[in-house]
Amino acid sequence: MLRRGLIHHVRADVLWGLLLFVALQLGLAVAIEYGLPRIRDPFYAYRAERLRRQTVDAPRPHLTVVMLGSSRVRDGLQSGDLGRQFGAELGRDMLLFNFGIPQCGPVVSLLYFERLHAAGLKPDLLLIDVAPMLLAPRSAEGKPRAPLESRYRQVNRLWHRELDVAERYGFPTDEYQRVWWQTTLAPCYGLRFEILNSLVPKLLGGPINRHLSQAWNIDELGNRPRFTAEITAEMRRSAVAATRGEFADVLAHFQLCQTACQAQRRLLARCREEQIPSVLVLMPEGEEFRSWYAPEAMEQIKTHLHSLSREFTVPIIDARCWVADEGFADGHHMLPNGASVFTQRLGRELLEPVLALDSAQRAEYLVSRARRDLESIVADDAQQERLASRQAANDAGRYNPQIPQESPPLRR
Amino acid sequence: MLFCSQLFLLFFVAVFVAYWAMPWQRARVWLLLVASFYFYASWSQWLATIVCVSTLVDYLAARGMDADLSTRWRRVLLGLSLAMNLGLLVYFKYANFFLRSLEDALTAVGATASLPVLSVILPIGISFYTFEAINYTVDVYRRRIPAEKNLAHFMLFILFFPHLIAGPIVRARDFLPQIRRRKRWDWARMNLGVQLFLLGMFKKLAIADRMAQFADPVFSAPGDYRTAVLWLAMLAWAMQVYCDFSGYSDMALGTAHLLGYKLAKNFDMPYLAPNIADFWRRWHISLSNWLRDYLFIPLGGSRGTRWQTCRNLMITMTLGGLWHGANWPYVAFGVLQGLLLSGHRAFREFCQRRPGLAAVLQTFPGTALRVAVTFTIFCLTLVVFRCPSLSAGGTMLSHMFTRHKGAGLPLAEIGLWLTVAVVAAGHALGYRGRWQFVMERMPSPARGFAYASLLSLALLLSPDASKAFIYFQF
Repeated sequence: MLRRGLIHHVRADVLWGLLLFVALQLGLAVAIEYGLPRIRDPFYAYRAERLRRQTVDAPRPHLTVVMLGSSRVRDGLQSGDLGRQFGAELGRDMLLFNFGIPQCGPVVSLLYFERLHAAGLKPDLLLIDVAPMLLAPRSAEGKPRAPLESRYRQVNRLWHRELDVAERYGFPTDEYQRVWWQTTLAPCYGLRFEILNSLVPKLLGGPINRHLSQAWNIDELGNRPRFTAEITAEMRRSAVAATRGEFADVLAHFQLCQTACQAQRRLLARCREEQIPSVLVLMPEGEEFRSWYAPEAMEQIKTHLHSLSREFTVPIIDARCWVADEGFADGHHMLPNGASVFTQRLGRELLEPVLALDSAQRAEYLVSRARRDLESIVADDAQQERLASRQAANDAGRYNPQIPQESPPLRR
Repeated sequence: MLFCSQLFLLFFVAVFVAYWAMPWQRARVWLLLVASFYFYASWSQWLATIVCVSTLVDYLAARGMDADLSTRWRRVLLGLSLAMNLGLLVYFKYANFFLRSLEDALTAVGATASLPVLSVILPIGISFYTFEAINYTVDVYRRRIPAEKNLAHFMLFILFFPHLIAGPIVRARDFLPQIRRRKRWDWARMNLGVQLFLLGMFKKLAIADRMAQFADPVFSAPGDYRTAVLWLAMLAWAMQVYCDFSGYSDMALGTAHLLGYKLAKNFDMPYLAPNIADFWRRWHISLSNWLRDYLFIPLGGSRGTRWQTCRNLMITMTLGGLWHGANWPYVAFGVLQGLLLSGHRAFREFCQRRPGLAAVLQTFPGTALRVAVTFTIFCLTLVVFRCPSLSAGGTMLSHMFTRHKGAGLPLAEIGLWLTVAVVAAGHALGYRGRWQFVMERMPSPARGFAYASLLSLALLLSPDASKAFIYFQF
């Protein structure tokens, strides 16, 4: 009788243990999926919270600009400086929010846009980072449909409803679904770093802590703290070599990934639907980085961007040559001095004229600017064609070789 | 495959289900044998074959000794078995060490020597299963146990996967009878197995691997850190090595219980030991017992003069240190333990002549002081054990006892102190079976919640990449 009772208790212990463990995991999984964005995607969640505080919970500024993009934006935009400067100069407050998140390419930018929209966070102007290498496919890995950003993207940062969207734009679903379900069904293991990062960040060690602290260690405008450590020439050389190892081959054999291009198109279409003016920005790159592009690579990229500009009437800011090499840590992530140069010029060339306008005039200004840029590009192209045909004819000896060659005007 | 890996979980679930699904004891033995071979072969098929061949030789030698042979022939067979086992151990584990040391010694005396470097892969767990094979053949020779006639049973004794890689070192007389007994499903044993496995997993993932994040950077470059940090790293290392090894042992015991086998306890809260002799009765108990029974006692034990006893202690502990690996710090660690044990004997004799002092030392404050001193001294010897060379160990110890400037802890200190608090709380609960008292009075849902929480916490606190168990390298 006693033994039967003992057996019953022991069996009950084990079964309760199993039941409660499973219940705990499922409960946590549901909570994370529907109510704990800081755990699901801390990089997005902390920034979205700060953006909400600045726009919804506080009086809305005259102009709210959100720059959405990758770690290039995270490091390259010094939004606080510009906002304060223009506020003082023009007497109009501007919120320039840094929504630069590592590994954010065209597909994830689209997902982030939808999240912000669902949360009621609607900027007056959206600047969209175009990182050309993230427009390439993972052909070398036998996944020609998958954009390069899917290599870097941690699948547990996506909500379940976003997996279908990611699949539509080429993310390798089988792999993603499997990893997503593994991390979600046992969140205390699969999302343990994010949970600890949210509750007790000091318990995280070394590289994980450094990586995840970038999620919450940002100011109210989404900027990360400026690092003051000196970058020596040796450190820069080593960092550039690492970047070369990662991207040079992709750029030398560049092809546009159709799914990445479709994601960009969709983002611009959504901006148009929501009447959010947008601008495409090619972020600064160092001279060596720019040298890795094959000539046909830049042609493809420019053709694609010009077609987007034409279709959605959005301006393109080509800032690739704005910053000298000393302004980069590794050829494409800016140091504070480089970020300052980029931000100031972005402010002068784009934001200052926009800030001076009322909301009704902004969209019109940007449309006219886009058209102007396109006309200038068409004119450049036509001139290039004329020059090319003259040269060809010249080579054939039909024209006077003394006619001076006209140099094409600088494009913005 | 590590005990706390997904692969092992899948492997064990498959073995567990198949094992209890089949009603035939013989089939279960073969299942465990095949599973154990597969477990070892997942590291190296070639080395798994070597283990099987050496096991076969031991089996045949023992069968020969058990036959009606003269003492001389029995001694020859024992010698053959010992030579093979120790020969394999020396070749795989110590050959390069001896060659390197010989070369260094010749260079030190001015001779030039360029001795070959053997390309060997250390078979994982060799130190453990070699000692198990030795204890078996010696016990058969001494006629303490009969030779096992069933080859499958004997191979399972050596290859049984819960204890194969890092112990505990199992005695044939304890394990072989268990193989012959038919196993019945026992909920109490299953419960115990689950408790031990979860506890071991928590110790390994949440404590040991976490403490490694504090200790590893400091021990790899001790000159870069300030004195206080070196002491904290020593504390972290002490937590790490204890929880890593005892965690593995708990998981091994738990796994064995889940299959109906009982392995001997290998740790008994050694950090609560009031003296070094008691410490070695609580730390890696299976190795300590093996060294006592097969080395210390055959050398004469403590039966001779004080000098002979000290000599025997020094030999035993030095070889015990060498058992851990082919490196002078391990030898030095063993020497230090021998000196400490000899010193403890002398101090005990000193106290026996002073009853007042002995009485004071037996009080609660006296005992607390002794525990603290024993723990601190053992931790200092662990510094020697951990450092890659004697000079590095000496440097670190000298920096610990002189004012040395440098960097702070590589991680936030709160993590270290929280973990120490958890270990201390665990010891308080485990002391004199308090946790059993508490557990028995909890209702089932509460006990179940405790299991679920332990597992969740172990998973939550596990670091990025789980480190291999420290004692795998031995």
